[in-house]
Amino acid sequence: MNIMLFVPHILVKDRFDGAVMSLLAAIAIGSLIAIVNAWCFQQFPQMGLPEILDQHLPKVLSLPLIAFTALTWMSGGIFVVYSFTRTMGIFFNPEMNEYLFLFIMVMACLFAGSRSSRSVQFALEVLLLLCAPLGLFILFKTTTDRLVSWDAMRVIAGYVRHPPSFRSVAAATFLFSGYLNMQIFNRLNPPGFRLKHRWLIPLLGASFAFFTFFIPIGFHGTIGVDQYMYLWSVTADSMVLKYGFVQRVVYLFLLVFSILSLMFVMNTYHCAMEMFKACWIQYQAKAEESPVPKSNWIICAIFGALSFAYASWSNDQKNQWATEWWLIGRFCVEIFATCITLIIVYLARKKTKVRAPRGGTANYGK
Amino acid sequence: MFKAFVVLLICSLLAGCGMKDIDKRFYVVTTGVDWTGNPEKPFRVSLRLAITSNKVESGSSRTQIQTVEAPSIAEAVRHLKAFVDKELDFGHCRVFILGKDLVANGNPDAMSWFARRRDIQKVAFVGVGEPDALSVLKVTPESERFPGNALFLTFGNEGTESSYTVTTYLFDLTRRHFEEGMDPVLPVIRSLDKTYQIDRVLLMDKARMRLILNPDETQLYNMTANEAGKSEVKMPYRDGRIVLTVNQIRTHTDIAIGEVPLVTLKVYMSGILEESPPEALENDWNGIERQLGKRFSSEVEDLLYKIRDAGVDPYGFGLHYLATTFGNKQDFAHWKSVYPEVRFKVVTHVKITGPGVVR
Amino acid sequence: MIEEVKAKLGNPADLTTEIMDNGYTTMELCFFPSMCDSHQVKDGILIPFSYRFDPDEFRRMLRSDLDFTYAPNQDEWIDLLLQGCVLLQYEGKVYCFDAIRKLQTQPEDTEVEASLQGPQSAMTEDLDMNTYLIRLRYNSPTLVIRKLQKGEISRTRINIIYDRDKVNRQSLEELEKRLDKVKTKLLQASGQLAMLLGNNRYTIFPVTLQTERPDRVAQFLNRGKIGLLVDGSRFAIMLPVRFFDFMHAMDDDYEPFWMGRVIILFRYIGMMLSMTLPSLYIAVSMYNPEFFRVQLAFSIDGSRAAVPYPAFIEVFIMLFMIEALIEASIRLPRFVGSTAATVGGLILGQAAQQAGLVSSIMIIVTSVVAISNFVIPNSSFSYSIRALKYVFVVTSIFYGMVGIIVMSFITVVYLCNLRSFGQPYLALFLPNDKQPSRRTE
Repeated sequence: MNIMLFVPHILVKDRFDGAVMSLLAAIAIGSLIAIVNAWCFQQFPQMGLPEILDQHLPKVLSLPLIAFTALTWMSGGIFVVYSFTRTMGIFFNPEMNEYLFLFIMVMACLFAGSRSSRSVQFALEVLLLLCAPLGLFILFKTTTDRLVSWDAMRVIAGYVRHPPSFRSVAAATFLFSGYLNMQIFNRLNPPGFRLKHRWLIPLLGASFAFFTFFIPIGFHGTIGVDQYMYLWSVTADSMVLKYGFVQRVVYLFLLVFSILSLMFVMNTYHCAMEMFKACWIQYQAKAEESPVPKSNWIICAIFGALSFAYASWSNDQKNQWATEWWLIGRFCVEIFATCITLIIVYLARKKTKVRAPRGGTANYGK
Repeated sequence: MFKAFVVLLICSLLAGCGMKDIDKRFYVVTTGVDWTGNPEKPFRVSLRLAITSNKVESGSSRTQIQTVEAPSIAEAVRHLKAFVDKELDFGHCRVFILGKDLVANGNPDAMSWFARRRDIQKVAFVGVGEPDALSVLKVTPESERFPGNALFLTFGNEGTESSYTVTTYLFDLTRRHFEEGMDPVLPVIRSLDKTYQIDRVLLMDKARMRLILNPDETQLYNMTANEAGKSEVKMPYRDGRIVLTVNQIRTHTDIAIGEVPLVTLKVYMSGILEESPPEALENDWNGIERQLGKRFSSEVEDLLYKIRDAGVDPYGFGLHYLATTFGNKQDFAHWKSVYPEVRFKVVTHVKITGPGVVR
Repeated sequence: MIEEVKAKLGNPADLTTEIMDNGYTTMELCFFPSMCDSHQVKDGILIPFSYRFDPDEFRRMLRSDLDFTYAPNQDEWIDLLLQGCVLLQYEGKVYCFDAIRKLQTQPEDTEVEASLQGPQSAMTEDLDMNTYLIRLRYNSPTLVIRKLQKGEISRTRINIIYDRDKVNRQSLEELEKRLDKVKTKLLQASGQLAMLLGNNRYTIFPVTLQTERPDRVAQFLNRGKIGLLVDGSRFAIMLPVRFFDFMHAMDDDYEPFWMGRVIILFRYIGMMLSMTLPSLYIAVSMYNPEFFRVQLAFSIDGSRAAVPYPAFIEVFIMLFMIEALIEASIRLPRFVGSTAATVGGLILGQAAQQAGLVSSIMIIVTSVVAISNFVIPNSSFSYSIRALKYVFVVTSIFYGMVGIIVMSFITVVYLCNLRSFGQPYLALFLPNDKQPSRRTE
C-alpha cells in the first residue's frame, strides 16, 4: 500500500526509458504473483508461511528461508521508517533533531508491531478505513484539478514502445505486494476462507500504479518532474482547497501518508518478528496473545535499534540507493517464494488428496 | 503502554527545541525580488511582514517592509533576519513578486530557491511587479483586513474573479520553465495609489521576458488558454454596442500534422447579453451569434500570431503537438523549427442563452 | 433463643427482643426494627398471633407460608437477622420470617442516561427490583440468573444474568475466573466491581459498560452479553463490550434511521475534537502555523499577541480551569452548581481573556472541548477521553503535528489490542468462525 516513497521516484527517473512499459509489465506480473500466492495460501488455512514451510520442507531448508524472508520484511520496515522520518522532518519541523523524530516513530511502531497478529490485523482494517475517504478525496482532487496537464501525461505515455527496465518493473511490482501479508495473517483465516473479488487486484493495482506515476507528471511537466526529492509531497502541495479549513492539500496528504507509513512499518515489524520467532525451536504460532510476551518487545526493540543504526549511516542519497536495491531484491525474493509455495502446494496436494475449500464468507479488508 | 509513555516523556524532555510560538514569528506575506543592476549584489529582496493585531476590521492591517541587497536570495533572507525581532516564517507567504527588470534580464536559475524551500507553498502566486517589486509591496489597500489578504483574494479567486487576472502558481511556473513546448506566463501587477492593477500578462521564453499583452489581449488570452468565465465579448452593432457576458467557455485544440502544422482552436462559449440595442436580439438572434463568433475568432487569431512572432508558446501548443503525435525529441526539434511559420485557425461557436432580464 | 442471639451480637441497642404471650401460648421474637418492614411483621406475625389466634392455623401457616422458613441451625441465626429477617421461636422450633424493608418499590427515573423518547424508568438500588425490571423486559425462558455474594463485610449480593442460548461461553468462563479472584472487604458500587474485574489497573479505557437503563441491559442480553447486577447500586455492569457500544445511546434505536446515524456521526466528531483540539492548538501555534489557512493563522497570532507565556502553559491553565469547573459542578449541590458554572465559565473566561492571560481562541477551544466531551453518552468512557486528551497535549508539546498523528495511531492500535473478556474491543470485521455458539446480528 505504501507506494508514495520510492516507487514513483524510480519510475519517473526512467520515464523516457521504458517506465510505461515497465508499469504494464509489472501489472501483469504483479497481479499474477498476487493471485497465485493468494490461491496457494488458501490451500493451507490457518497457517502462516513458517508453518507451511516447516511442515513440508526439511528444517535445514526452511529455517534459512524463513530467516531470509524475515530479513526482507525487516529491512523494508527500516527503510520506510527512515524515509518517513525524513519527509516528516522536512515538511513539519525542519529545525527538529532527526533522531528525536525517529525516536517517536520507532516507539510507535515498536508498540504497534509487538502486538498479537489479531490486534495488528484489526488495527490495519480500522486505519485503512479511516484513511480511505481522505485518500480517495486527494485522488479525486488530483484528477479534477484544472492545472493538471493531460498533454504531458500523453507525451510520456507515448514512450510506451521503449522496452521495460528491470529496475522499474521491480519497483512497480511493489504495488502488488499487499498479498505478502498473507504470509502471517493467513493464520487468522478460517478453513474455507476465500479471498473474494480477486479480479479487483489487477484493477486496483493498475489504477494505483497509473496514479502514482502519471499524476506527478501532470503537475510538474515531463521535464520538471525530475527535480523533486519528495515527489508526491510536492505534488500534493500543488493543490489548494479553496474553501477548506486546511488550505494546503499537502497537509492532508501528509496525514494520510504518515498513517499509511506507520501502518506499513507496524506490519513489517510484526511480520518480521513473527518470522524470527518461528526460527526458534520451541515455537507455537498463536494469533491471539495476551498479555504480549516479552520476546515480542525484545525483537521489536532490536528492529528499532537497527533503524537508528541505519539512520545514522544514511542520508537522502544513500537511502535512495538502498531502497532501490531493496526493491529489486524483494522482487527476486517474491518470484522465488512464489515458486517454492507452488512446489509445496503441488507436493501437498499429491500427499493428501484434494481438500476442497468451500463456502467461507469472511472477507477481510485486504 | 503506560511505561512507554513515561519513557517517551522523559526522552522528550531532552528535546524541547524546534518550537517557536506563533507570536514569536514574523509572517512574510509577500516577497519581492528586484534586479539592482549591480553585478556584485544583483538581487534586492524585499519582504512584507505581517503585523497582526487582536482587532480585525477593514483597513486595520499593518505591515512592515524590509529590504536588503545581496548576491543571492538565500543570503538576502539570512541577512534580513538580522533586521527583525522575530523569526521569519515563509509558511504563509503566498505571493512572490518579481521585478520587471529582473524578468527582463535576470538569471532564472537563481529562482530555484523558491522551489527548494520546503516551507514555501508550491501553490504560492507569482507575479511581475511594474515598475518594480518594491513599489508593489508598498501598496496598502484600504480594504485589507488581514495583512496581504488583498492579493491572496485576488489571485485565489476567492474574492474577485476577474477575467483580466491571470493566476500563476509557483509550481506551474517551474513546470513551464522546464517543459518542452510550453512557456511561462506571469501576471503583471502594477501599483496604483491605494490598490493594485492586475490586468496584463507577461509572456516569457525559458529565460526572460518577451512580450507584455495589453488588457484586452490579456482577457482574450485568459479566455482561450484558461477557459476563464465571467468575461465578456463585445462588438459594435449598428449604432450601438453589443456586450456578451460569457458564463461558460470551452476550448479545444487540434493540431493537423503536416510540413507546417495547422493549429485549429475551437472555442465554444455561451452567455447572456448585457448590453445591446433594444430588440436587436429578437430580430437577428443567429446573426448576432455568428457575428460575435467571427469577430472573436479574428481577434484571437491576431493574438496568436502576435504571440507566435514573439517566439513564445504560453498555450503549450508544442506539448500538445507532441502529445497528439506521441512524439520524441526529434519531433520536438521539428516543431521548434517550424513554429515561426505555424498557421492558426480559430473557430468560435457562440451561444446566447438569453437577453438578460429585459427583452 | 433470645439469650443466644443477644450473646452473639453483644446485646445491641437496636435489637428488639420480646417474649409474647397471647393468653394461650408464648412465642419468642427478635429482629432489628430498622431493617424490617414493620407492616409486614404486623400483618404476617402479630395479627395471626394475637387477634385471630388459632393454634392449628398458626402452625400450618408457619410450615407452609412462603415467607416462613424453618431455621434449626443456630449459626445461621445471626446472618439471617443481619439480613433483615425476623426470628421467632414457637413451640420450641425457630422460624425465620422474611420482612426485609424495601426502600425502593418503584423504578426510578433515568438520571445519568437520560433519553428523550425512550423508556424513562431506570434501575433502582435494590437488587430484586432490578431483577424484576430485567425479567420484565427480557421475558424469555432462556434467561439465566445466578446468585453470588462478594465482599467480606458488606456481603453484597450479585446477580449474574445472561441468555443461556446466546451467551458467549468464552467470556462467561473468563468472567467466572475473574470473579473467583475478586477479594474485597466492602463492595459498595458496581463501578468498584467493574474495576476489580477489569484487565489491569492501568487500562485507560473501560472494558465493561455500566448502565442504569433496563432497556439497554435487555438489548445487550439479546446480543449475547452478560450482565452483573450489584445490590445497592443502580448500575448494571455489562460485558464484554466493544468500542462502539460506548458511543451508542439508547435513543439512537428509537429515532428514525438517518437521524440516529447523523447523531452518532456527530458524537464521533465530538469525541475526536475533545481529544485532539487542545493539542492541535498547541501544534498549530507552536510548530506548524502554516497548517491552517492564512486568515485563521493571523487571527490566532493576533489573539495570542498579549499572552506572555507559551501556548502549552495557556492550554494547561485553561484545561485545569475547565476540569475544576466540571468537578465542582458534579460535587456541589445542584442549586450552587449553576452558580459555579456561571462564575467559572462566563466571568472568569471573559476576564482572563481581557486581562491577556489567555487568548480568545483558547477560550473557544476549551469550551468546545468541554461541550463535545459531554456528547459522549457513557460517563466512564468520557473520563477516558478526558484523560487521553492530556497525553495528546504532552506529545504535541514535544512533537507538534507529528506527535498528534503518531498518538492517534498509537491510540487506534491500543484500542485494537484491548480485549474485553476475550472479545476484541475495536474491530470492524468480526471473524465469526471462532465462536460457533455466538450469533452476531
